[in-house]
Amino acid sequence: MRGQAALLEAGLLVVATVLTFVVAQHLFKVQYVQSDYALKINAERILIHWADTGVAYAVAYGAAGSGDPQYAKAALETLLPPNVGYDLTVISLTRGVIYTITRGYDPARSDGATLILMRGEGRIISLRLSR
Amino acid sequence: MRGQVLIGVAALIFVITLLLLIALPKRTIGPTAAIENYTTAKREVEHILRNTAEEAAYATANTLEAVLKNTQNLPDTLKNLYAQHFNVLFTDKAGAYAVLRGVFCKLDALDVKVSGDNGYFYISSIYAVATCDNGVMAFINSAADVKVELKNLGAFGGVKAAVNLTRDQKQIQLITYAAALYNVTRDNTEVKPYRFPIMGTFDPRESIWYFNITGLHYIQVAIPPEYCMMSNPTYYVAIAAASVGEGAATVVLAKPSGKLCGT
Repeated sequence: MRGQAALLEAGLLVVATVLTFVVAQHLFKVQYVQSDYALKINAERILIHWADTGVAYAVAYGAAGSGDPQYAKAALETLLPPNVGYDLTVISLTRGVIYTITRGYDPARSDGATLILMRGEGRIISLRLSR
Repeated sequence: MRGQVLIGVAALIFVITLLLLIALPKRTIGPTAAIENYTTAKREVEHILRNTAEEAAYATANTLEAVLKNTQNLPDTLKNLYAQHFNVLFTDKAGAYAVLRGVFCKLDALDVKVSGDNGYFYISSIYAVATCDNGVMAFINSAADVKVELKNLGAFGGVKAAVNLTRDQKQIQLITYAAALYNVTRDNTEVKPYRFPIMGTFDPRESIWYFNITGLHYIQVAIPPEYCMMSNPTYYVAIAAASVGEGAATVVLAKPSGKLCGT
């Protein structure tokens, strides 16, 4: 009787430890996979480069104030290889989404970054990349 | 008894791990783009300062009617008006930025200088520093060099301003500008400034774009006959010029001393 109880206890302990391990692994995995470091860093570097060179203003405002999707497409596609998908959205702080351009974008396998410009009423440039 | 304690400890570890994993913010686990995050935050604040400097120039040129009622010590008045607009616009933009990013930024320093020559003066340097509660510090340091020439063009009067904007000693190639004429008349004791638009509007969205690879921009405006014929001019020519996202800007105020057209 005593031997069986000890066995049961040991068994429960093993189950609890394994369960803790499995759940922890699962949660860590979910959290880790949600962020694709390489894509996030690439998106941030593209936006920083755009901010430094003034391309961000052409993309977000253009000459007429409503952004320049053709210019944005050309600027992005010179930097990104064809196997990387993208979703570029320019949002005005007062008028909402101004335009979106995409190419082979898969939201489930994506990560990205945003850049805020406060010229005039302000713009958010959201660049998400996927592979 | 020993077994129960062990099970209790295991259960406790299990529950604490679960609680921690649920409570922890999701993206703190795994690598983060720390350098890029910082650079993005710094650029955003820098650009807030730059946009503020540019828009403050247009706002100043747009509200000169208010200050031209008293023409005493106009260079100082221009400087103060610009600084006021800079403060207001920065607060506005920093407020919107705080809502979006949850980061509060404040203007730590603002130094505006006005220079001039015979018959005209302009904002010649802008230095501003902003600090934010996420540790980001950003600044702008820009300058303007302006030479104004007044010319008799026959039927019209001509004002030619050679504008050279720089940021950190780098010449600005793309600018936007607008110009207007402010006529200050006196009706008995009441001073009435009146604005006559010449080129573009004092609004960055409706101004004129001008690209020059050398960085030297000639802004030429024509003064209509009803003003240029005045032998004792009562008007000022105001020109606002600003870069696009570089943080360089100037407001030029010129007052002719005699007749600018005709024979």
